Amino acid sequence: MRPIPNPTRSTATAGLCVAVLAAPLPASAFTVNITAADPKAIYLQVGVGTFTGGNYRSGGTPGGNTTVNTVSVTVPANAIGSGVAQTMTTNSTAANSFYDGYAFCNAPTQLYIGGFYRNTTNTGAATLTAASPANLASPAGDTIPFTQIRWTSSGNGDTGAQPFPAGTFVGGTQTIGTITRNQWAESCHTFSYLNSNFVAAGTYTGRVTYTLSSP
Amino acid sequence: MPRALSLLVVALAIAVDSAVAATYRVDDGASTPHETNALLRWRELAPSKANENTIEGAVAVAVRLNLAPWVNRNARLFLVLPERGTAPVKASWLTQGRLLPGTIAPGNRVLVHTGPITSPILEETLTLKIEVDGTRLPGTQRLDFHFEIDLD
Repeated sequence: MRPIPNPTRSTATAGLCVAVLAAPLPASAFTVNITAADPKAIYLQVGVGTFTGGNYRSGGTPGGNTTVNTVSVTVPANAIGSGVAQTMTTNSTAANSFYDGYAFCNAPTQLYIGGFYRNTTNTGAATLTAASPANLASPAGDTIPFTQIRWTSSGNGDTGAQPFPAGTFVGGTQTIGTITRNQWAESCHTFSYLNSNFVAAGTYTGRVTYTLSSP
Repeated sequence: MPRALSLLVVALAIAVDSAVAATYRVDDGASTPHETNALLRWRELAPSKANENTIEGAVAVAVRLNLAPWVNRNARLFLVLPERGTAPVKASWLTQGRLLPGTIAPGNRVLVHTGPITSPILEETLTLKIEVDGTRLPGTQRLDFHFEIDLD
């Protein structure tokens, strides 16, 4: 920190200059500490979601949505257990990207899965996991292993690898994909029932819970 | 006037001009931010494909400069932000008219006044807007501003 010399005297004599330099330093400088108020933000949408005011690029802001969408298929009686995979459809109406409104998925055969992850600190990517029970079950107590359901992954206009790639449920918790820090990621999943086993007639249901976790 | 004395007078005049044109740090010890900590928020809540990762915030600063040593002198005042920390910072400010508005990055100084110093104390309120690359601010970063004066 430099002192405040008196310009009318500092040039007068060398002795006075020395005296000024030896004087107490003036209090000087104001300090502003800057800190991120909300360093982390995370958003996940599987199926329908809520963006108030349109998609994100048009100024919309994400909100909560408690809807649980369904993916289902009815297997014809003469095809049960044939081993021919049966494409499932969803009741989700979310086909457009919630990032920019682009027609990214094809409803009702594809389920939109998207989200983003914000963090000022580089502690790694956010991880999307899915937890499925061991079996789908019917009211009569019959079961179908959850491993009989798989999915492919794509997106209209996409050419690279999907952030949430193809897979098969494991009847437990599994990793679906990751979202890099300060990135948006989205994929469209097309589910199929593998139809490998001859099962009793009935409606078999099970719930998968998707969780996006930030490090 | 003897020749030797003339040379001495010229030499002293040059020395005086050189010293007067120097830069001095201004006593702004009475300046205080309204908030010591500026909380910055994401400019865009969600990431974008354009990699817009700015976090930003604003803080008002009551500036009080002790200009008593330079009253009635023509001078230029500068706001200085020394290089410090790791996150790229841009600070811009608005004023109430006694100082000039501007924008500064660390390691620079920006002109905020030019002309005569008419009062021993200059008071002003700066509304500082601070923008930082949100991917490079892991914690708290300190910005130490000060003022310098150049005499004409």
